[in-house]
Amino acid sequence: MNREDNHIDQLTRELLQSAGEEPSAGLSLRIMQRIEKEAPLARRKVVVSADEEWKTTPLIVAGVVMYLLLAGCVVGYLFQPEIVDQAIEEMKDNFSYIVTICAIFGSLTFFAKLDRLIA
Amino acid sequence: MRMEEHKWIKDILAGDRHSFSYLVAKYQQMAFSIAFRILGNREEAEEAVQDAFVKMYRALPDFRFDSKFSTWFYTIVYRTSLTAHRKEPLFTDYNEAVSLHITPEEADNTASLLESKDRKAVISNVLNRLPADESLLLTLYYLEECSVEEIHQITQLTPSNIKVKLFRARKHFYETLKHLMKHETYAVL
Repeated sequence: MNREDNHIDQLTRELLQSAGEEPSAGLSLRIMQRIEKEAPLARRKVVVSADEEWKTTPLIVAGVVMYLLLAGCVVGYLFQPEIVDQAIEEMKDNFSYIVTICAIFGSLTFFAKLDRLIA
Repeated sequence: MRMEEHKWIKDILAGDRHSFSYLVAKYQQMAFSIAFRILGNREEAEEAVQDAFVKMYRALPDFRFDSKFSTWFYTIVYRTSLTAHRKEPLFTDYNEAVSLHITPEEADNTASLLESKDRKAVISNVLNRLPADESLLLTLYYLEECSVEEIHQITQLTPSNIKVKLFRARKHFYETLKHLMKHETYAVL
């Protein structure tokens, strides 16, 4: 913005400063009367329902079981690899289903938690 | 000042409705000016302002303290007034190729015609004669001293569009003022 523009801007500002529209005297009273009729405000809270709390215990148990199974596999593979190999061989046909189901449940849990976190 | 305002808001959220009267006292005049510029009718503007304050009260728990409260509230006033307006779009595209340029001498000469005692009435009259979108932009930019970015947040117009419209509004403002002065319309004021 150049100097000419600044000057016109300043002049316009001075002229318009006196031109604020005045509402009627009773407006603030009418606004407050309407506010008095409103329900009290409540801050938005993230409420954890009893249902959700109930869900967390099985989730923790399932997590512990998963880790125990994983640890069992690692230990078994280290000390008795032939038994683990045999077990894997038996599971081979159903392996794709197991991975798919685990991936679905894992994604669902992850995105549900993420959604709650963002909200 | 902003800290004080935030304290009022926190008090209102804590259930102190009396603190709301401070917000009303501080913002009702500007809210009324915005509504009046859009609606062009005092009664309708006051209705819109009441509605806007109630909407603001209900939405207060969602207000983020990192933004400017006035801009947030004026957006509510603007949208409430637009809903009440309904007749036609407030902002229209200009087709005519008119020069936006005015010289400082032109502005000075026109302004000097005003006697201070009549100034308020004359300026109000000029603003009332301008299209609603132009008088609204002039009010927000020159009277409330909103930045182009804040006007963008309130109206959703692009910053470049706001600048062009402001230039045009300013030109129309001085043309209308000059026209009023030339034709000695003081009698009608």
